[in-house]
Amino acid sequence: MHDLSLQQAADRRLLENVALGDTAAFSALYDRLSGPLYTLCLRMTGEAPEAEDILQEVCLLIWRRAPSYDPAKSSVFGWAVHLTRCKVIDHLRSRGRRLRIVAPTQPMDGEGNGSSNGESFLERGAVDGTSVTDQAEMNEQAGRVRRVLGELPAEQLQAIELAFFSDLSHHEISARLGQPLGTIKARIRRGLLKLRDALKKEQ
Amino acid sequence: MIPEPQQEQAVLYALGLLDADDAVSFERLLAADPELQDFSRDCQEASAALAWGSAPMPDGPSSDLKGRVMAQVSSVAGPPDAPVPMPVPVVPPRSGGSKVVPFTTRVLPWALAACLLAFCGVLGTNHARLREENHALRGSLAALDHPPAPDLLAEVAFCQLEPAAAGLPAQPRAVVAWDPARHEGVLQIIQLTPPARDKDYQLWTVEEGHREAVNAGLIHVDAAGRVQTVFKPEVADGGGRVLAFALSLEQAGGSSKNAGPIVLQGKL
Repeated sequence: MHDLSLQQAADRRLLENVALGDTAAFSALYDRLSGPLYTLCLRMTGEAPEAEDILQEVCLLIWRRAPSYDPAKSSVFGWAVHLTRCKVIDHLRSRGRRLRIVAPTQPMDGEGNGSSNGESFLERGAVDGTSVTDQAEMNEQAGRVRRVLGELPAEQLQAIELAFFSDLSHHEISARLGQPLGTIKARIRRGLLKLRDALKKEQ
Repeated sequence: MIPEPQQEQAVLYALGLLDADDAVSFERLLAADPELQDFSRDCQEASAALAWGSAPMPDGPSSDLKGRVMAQVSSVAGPPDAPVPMPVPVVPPRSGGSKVVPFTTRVLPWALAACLLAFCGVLGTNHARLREENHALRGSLAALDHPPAPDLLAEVAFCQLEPAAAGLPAQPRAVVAWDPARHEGVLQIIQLTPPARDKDYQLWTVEEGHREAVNAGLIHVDAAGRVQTVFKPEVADGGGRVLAFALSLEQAGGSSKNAGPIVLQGKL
């Protein structure tokens, strides 16, 4: 069984209400998810207008598919991230483009924060309608993930980032990094399992 | 303890790196192994967490995006789509780049599409012929001074079921002819891979007034991968308006509640 964090439980309640046609719940869910999903779109496409268009489509998809969400299979956030990745990949393929990675994961400072010079929208806490508490939770979660990613060996981080943020198959990742396929698979597996273990430990 | 090869598959599955065949095989394993389901879910959560690790961007979505989204959502009449049980999602198969795609993989989907077109053509022809026969019979009845029979075919709705996982080399195709007045239908499928010994295909309907998918019975596939059967959903209250159909792969003997992966689905 999986223990639900408070945020996961809140997301699930919101999505259950969205499935019943509750637009206020949808608005609240938008506030919670739009930031990280937009960042994901932007990182994969590299273009802000396109990232917004895709995010808009993803939001409608979440509205339409809310009744199909199965909490036994993933968290609401995991489900939304999956829908977003699929949408970005479909979108760019339909235009004959390859995915691009805008920037690698930021190096960590001592607090586990990214070292961007300007404030990110997460850190700004100024996303429309997002409560300060939600914002703090999101910042904490982002910092936690970045801290864990910063502790991964560089070659594992590189392999799982290419696997997650790009459209490359594992064969292509192997060719790009000049490493045997088995090595790439092992790096991806070890990297993701370390991330899983570390995140579980921090919960 | 989950063997290392399965761990590797779960990780690649979570990242959408398995090709379509391997993803389907893995989903079959998943359906039968609760421990693997937990492991796979953990991997999916870890991979989703990578989205948090993205470099901070200077700006979030524009402030008017939310307004546009909410306006679109409000303009959609009624609540979201009816609940159709979905399998663990698979990221669309990667384009492969330099990977050589087998000839059959490239040609088969087109061949199947052609078969489906022909199949629909046959259904359409039959539909037109039956309409003509019906019209002729009504004419005969009128000539005999009997009241005309109701136009039965006008009541029948057709629904095409699509594979739930895209990109499979051998795509099953299915059509349901549904009679809402009698709350029963006819299912016809081609190119459906027969299930493993410990599995059975099971048909479900999604109906208004029912939160869970309604069992419409086990579906038996012949050796050639064909199905043609009459089915009637098991509902005590006469059934609500049917919104969608889904075919899933369940444990042998079927299940009272959908638990296995959805193979085919379609909205009415």
